Amino acid sequence: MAAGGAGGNSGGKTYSFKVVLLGEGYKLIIPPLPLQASFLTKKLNITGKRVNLAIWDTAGQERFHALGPIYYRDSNGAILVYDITDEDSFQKVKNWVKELRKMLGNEICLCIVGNKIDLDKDRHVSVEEAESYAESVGAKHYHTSAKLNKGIEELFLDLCKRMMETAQAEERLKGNGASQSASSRRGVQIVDDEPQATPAGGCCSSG
Amino acid sequence: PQRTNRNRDVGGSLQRHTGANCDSAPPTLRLGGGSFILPRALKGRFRKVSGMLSSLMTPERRAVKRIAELSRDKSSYFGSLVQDYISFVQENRGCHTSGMDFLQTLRQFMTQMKAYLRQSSELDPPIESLIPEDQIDQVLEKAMHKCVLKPLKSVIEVALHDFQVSSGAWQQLRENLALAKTKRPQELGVDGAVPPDPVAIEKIRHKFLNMRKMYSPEKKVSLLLRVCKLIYTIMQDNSGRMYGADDFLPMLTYVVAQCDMPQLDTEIQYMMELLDPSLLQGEGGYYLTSAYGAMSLIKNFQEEQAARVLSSETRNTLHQWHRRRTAQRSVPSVDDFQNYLRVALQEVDTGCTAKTLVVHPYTTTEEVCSLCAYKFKIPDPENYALFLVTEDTSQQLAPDTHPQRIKAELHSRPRTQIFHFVYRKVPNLNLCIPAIMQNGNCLQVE
Repeated sequence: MAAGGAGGNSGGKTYSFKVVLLGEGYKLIIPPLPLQASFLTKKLNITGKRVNLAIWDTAGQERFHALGPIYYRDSNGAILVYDITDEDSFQKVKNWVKELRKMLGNEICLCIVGNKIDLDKDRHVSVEEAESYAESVGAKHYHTSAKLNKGIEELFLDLCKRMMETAQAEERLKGNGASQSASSRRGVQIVDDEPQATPAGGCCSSG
Repeated sequence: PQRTNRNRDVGGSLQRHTGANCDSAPPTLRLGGGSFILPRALKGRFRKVSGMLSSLMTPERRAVKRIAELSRDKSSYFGSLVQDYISFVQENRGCHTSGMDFLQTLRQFMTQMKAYLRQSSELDPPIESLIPEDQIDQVLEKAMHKCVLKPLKSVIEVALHDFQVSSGAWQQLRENLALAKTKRPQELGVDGAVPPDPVAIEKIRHKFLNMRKMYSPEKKVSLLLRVCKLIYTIMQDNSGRMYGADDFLPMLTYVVAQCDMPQLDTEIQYMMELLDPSLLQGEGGYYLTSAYGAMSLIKNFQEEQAARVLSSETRNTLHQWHRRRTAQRSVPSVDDFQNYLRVALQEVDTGCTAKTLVVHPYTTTEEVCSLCAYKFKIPDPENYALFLVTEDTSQQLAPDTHPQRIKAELHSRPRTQIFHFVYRKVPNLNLCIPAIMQNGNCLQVE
């Protein structure tokens, strides 16, 4: 999946990514809202590569929760924003993470964002808790203040780099897969893996 | 000779997909009646005139026009494919299971025809000579709308409506729309923003009515975008504030309810399924998704009122839809990997080791087992078997089953559970019985 398709030829590659905004207070993430504020595009230039972002906002109220899948399908990245002064909003982010991992697997780059760091004195979600949670689910954690326009540009740049890495890894994998299947003969053949240590949690992945 | 082969390929797969769902015969050539002879004779003259005019056209219009002409020329391979398909659809509407299924077949046909046109040399002049490489796809898309959707528009409309009526969805939608229309914006989740007044609603209704007249999903979407922009403008003019999806989605739901047009449902379906998939990520895709969401909320309005959340059934439909979409996109990469199967050897003392085996769809579990025995160097393979293990179940696979097919089936489910193929020792009954005896749990046999 991860449509993160690179378009054009190898020379001037342009990446197109879809990023979905989820969670409470997400609308604070892009302070100078353009006119149509629930969909926007952003063009970035990262290490000489052009990146087009399509950013999809979602309605956060509980009654719209069931519509989540139609918005986040095919996303390459998700930005999940909570309010550092509101523990409940952090819980909601956790629920989204669970759902996204279940529905989209590990291909989606997750950003967990603690917003309103200008209100640090009223903080109800500890930095340690948030960061270790993000790490435990394979997400990256960011601190922002939409009010002071702090940390937002960095967030987008970092997310783009991560999505590019994912897309490039996938391209390589695709390349390998194609050459392997091309060389495979009819019948059953075995591809050796590196000897594996017993994984800590459940056993080996299948799929 | 290479081209002939390619032609045969496209034709073959086409027949497969049109025939897949129906018992009726594959499309057959229909010869035009006598009435076609006269226009045909005139056609030569028209062609000369249009040839002169076409030099004044943009390259894009020329290309679209040329493809449309070719699609009507049954002596060309492309023309016969398109014309046969069109008459097949007109005559065999009943062979699809749902409107969605019908639209997806149409989309598939258009995509296949685009691929054919890119490869074949039937187009003269070749499209590359008229259109820059990066625009070819969108020109072909436009041409397909003209060749396929334009002649079939009314057939599609009737078919979609019939499906809705026969499933009872039409009646339910009308009832729910009528109910939703009585609700104030606040009851639909609007919080603060000022809704469009009746004059604006009438204007929007008019745009939706115009949308219905178009056959091109892209043009329909561009009208939907205009409606959405109008709603935004009204929201902002009335407040000076900016609004995100939290405010927009409920407002769009309110507007759709006020327009009271049950036909909008099939319009959205039409756009959703037939729009060029590459456009689904953009602005059009976003607002189309929002319109689909608004319609879903209205369709489930009565339940939603009671439960405050969408029914699990709707959630499932959305998930299925999501899966299908993503599945469609990932087809090429899945193809690359579909002959691999990861199997884990589970040993009591050493834990898990996994290997990736090349296993074809027709390879049986028995064959996979002997492969595992060889690969994992098992001295007593007769005591081992292949198991399908999920979070809470473990199932021994019969020797004549096909693990790849099982895997494919599991992946096609709306909610894929995590699963593993595990090669391990079969629990030995002789060993188990004494264990049960020891616990004193065995049944007393008289």
